[in-house]
Amino acid sequence: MTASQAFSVLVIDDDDVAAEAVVRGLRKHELLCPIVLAEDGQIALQVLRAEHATRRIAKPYLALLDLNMPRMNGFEFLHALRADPELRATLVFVLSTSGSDVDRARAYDENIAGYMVKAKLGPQLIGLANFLRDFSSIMLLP
Amino acid sequence: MDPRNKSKTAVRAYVAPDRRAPQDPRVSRESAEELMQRIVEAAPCGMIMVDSEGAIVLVNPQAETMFGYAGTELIGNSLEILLPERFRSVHAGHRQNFADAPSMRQMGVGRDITARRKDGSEFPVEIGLNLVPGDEGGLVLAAVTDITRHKAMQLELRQANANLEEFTYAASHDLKSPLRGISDLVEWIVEDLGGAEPQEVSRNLGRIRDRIQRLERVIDDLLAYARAGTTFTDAVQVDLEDLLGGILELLPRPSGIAIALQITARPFVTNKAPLESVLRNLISNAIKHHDLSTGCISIGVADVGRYCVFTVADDGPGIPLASQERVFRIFQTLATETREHSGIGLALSKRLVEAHGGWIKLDSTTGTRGTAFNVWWPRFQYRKPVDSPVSS
Repeated sequence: MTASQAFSVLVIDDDDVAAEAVVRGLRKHELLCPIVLAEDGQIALQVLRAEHATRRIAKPYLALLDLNMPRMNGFEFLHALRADPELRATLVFVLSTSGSDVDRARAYDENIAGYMVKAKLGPQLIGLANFLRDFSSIMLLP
Repeated sequence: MDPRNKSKTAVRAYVAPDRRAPQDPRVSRESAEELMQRIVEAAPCGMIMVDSEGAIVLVNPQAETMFGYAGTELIGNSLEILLPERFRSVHAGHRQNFADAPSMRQMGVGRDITARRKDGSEFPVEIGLNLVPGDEGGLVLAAVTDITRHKAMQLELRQANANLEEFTYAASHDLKSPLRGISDLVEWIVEDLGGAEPQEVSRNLGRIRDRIQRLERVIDDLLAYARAGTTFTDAVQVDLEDLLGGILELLPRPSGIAIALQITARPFVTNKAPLESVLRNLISNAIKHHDLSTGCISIGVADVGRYCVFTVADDGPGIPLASQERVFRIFQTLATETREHSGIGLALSKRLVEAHGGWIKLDSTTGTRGTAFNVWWPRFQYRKPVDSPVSS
């Protein structure tokens, strides 16, 4: 198994185009890790708790989280995640359209591993792909 | 007032001697009392005096109107009848505290005070207190101001701010995300077509991309405009040569455009980032809108009173009188080529300058060439108010 396949990614975003952009971006830059999609926080929790009917995610994994979503938004998801003894150690990167100071402070308050603004990730999210490749080659995931 | 001064004169006021009155000490004292009486009656706020037991001994006409009582109904009554029932017992305690340690101060700093009219209706007030020393514990003088309008404005302002914040949030998420999606979709279409598309399609895809970029910039500008003046960085010492040198170094300009810099102002302490962004905008406008291959932009900085005045003057085409009013409005640009200018610059500059207590003015006359902008930037920031009672 190569370093790029040593982890799975859970993409939590209600916008199917935004989610596909992540998938395309990672594939384009030859990051072939399994990617699981969740349209909102509740679905993400179901997947992580292995309660979802069809979607499963293999450990180790990390989550890429959008903040603004219907039903359960990013902050509510983080709150539920940190309150769950099984899932509280989950590594979450926020992937947001807004670089708002307030959002950033609130998200880091929930112990996220990092905050990225989509517009700053370069063409086809090359920045994200490179980061995840480097990150996974150095870091031991929970 | 310092309690140690209690034994001195009850009310100290300087009264100009009445030239016509005989120099009989008794008469001049009477006229002083008369004058005090007239001052209390004419005071622009409600005046109420109570004794050490909290009984009203004096009200002026403004207080009568404010509370809807005739003076005769109030005199001798407990002050607490002017308060809503729910506050009366607490207030008696406050009154005792004041009697124990009297000082000239605002009542209830930091919390709202509610008063009650004769008809039972309530209204917000501000009350200034002072002790008038005298026999049997002296008297307490209260100056009462009805702040209903003030409160209503405050509420309106708070709501407007909340709306703006919500708008900013919605703009940064709900407008940006779909736009990003559209931008991605266009890229994928281009990828999937792989260059095999007809020329018309390829041209139109380019036009879509242009418009996406423009819209992205508009949203960013709108957000910058909405946030301008709400975030203040720390004030630092600003060296004007460094500041302007730094701006000029980073602004591309045609070789024919000369810069004449004249700085007579002294360095001062201010929020550097907004000042820099205002000046960069003005200088960049002067360069961008110049219509000839040679020209000169004069930049002056001078101290005028408590302001530092920045002048950016060019010998470009000038701005017609009819357009002068709208240059400071949001998304107005006088350039025919709108791709590079969203038209936010001057509106944003104006907002930044005004948020810092200054103003910006345009000088350009129809018929002659040249435009000059003057920015009046305060050399001193108002100190933050000290939230503590004033003692005399």
